[in-house]
Amino acid sequence: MLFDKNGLYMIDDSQSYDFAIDFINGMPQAGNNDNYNFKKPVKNLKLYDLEDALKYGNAFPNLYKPYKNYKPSSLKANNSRERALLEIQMLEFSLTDLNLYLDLNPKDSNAYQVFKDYAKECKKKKEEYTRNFGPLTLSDITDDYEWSKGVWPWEEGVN
Amino acid sequence: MFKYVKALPYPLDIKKKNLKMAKNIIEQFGGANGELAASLRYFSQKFNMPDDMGRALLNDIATEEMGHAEMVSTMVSMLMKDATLDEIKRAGLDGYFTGHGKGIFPVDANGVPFTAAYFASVGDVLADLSEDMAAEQKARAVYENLIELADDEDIIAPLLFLRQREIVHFNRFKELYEYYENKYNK
Repeated sequence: MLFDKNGLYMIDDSQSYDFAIDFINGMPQAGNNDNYNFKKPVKNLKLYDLEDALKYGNAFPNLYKPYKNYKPSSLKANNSRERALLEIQMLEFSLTDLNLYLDLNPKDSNAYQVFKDYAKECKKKKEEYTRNFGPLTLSDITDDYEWSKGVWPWEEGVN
Repeated sequence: MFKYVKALPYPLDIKKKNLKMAKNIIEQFGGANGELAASLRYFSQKFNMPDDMGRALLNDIATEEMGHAEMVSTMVSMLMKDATLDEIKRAGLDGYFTGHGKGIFPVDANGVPFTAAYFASVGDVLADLSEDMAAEQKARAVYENLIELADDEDIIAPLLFLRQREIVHFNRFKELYEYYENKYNK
């Protein structure tokens, strides 16, 4: 892994991305036709893509330490609500992990650009989730009061 | 301020109850090296951090750990769902059942209840960050012990995730420790 003399990740200047339409676990992405690519390689910074980051529990390949021969499992989603939620969980996870890095490296504008891109997509996915399945936070507004209803994360099933 | 997001950090898919594993996994809710101890440790220490880096990192990891506490409790709850009294007794959970039924209460794998004595906030930046590094290593080791005890992929997957988070947190605390050690030339 590549660090400059200040201990920051080395910037990779190549700008090309593959915007291929992609699937999660063989299932089409829920709800929208935008097909945001959760397997898009992050070129400007050495990061796992959104799906792998959540799967491994780590957005930063240089910090990833497997345990013995255990391989992380593929991410589970058993219905359209769970699939939509999984997309948000992937984005939230990379935002969380990137944020910890940014807490210590606030001047890394490449990392923050990735953060901004993820945050924008996460907001969009949350609005869509709210429309289809109900609020994730109190400030997600629906026509009728729905906050207390629906599946709470600790209830039966994948969450 | 704390707000709530109606989602777990990682998608759980627990299909089979397992009371023995529930009894072990609750260690990471109410135990000495668990998520509740971690969250309260960093929450308490954040007030004494000397600059933005320390304030932000402690605050943000404390927040993340609270979500992990919820995830661990959820695993325990799911693993105990629909347990019969007989299954509870056979798993050695009758003591827990006496005090808590099939509810959730912060204890360790042996039913010892949570205490603030599990963590420190000494008001000294290097001491506090050293404590944090040790805490993350211990939590990692406990998750490895739990992974060894488990044989269900639905249980191992989230444990691997939580273990990896401890490794990342350790690294961030280490970076901050070295930065402060340098800056304040202790």
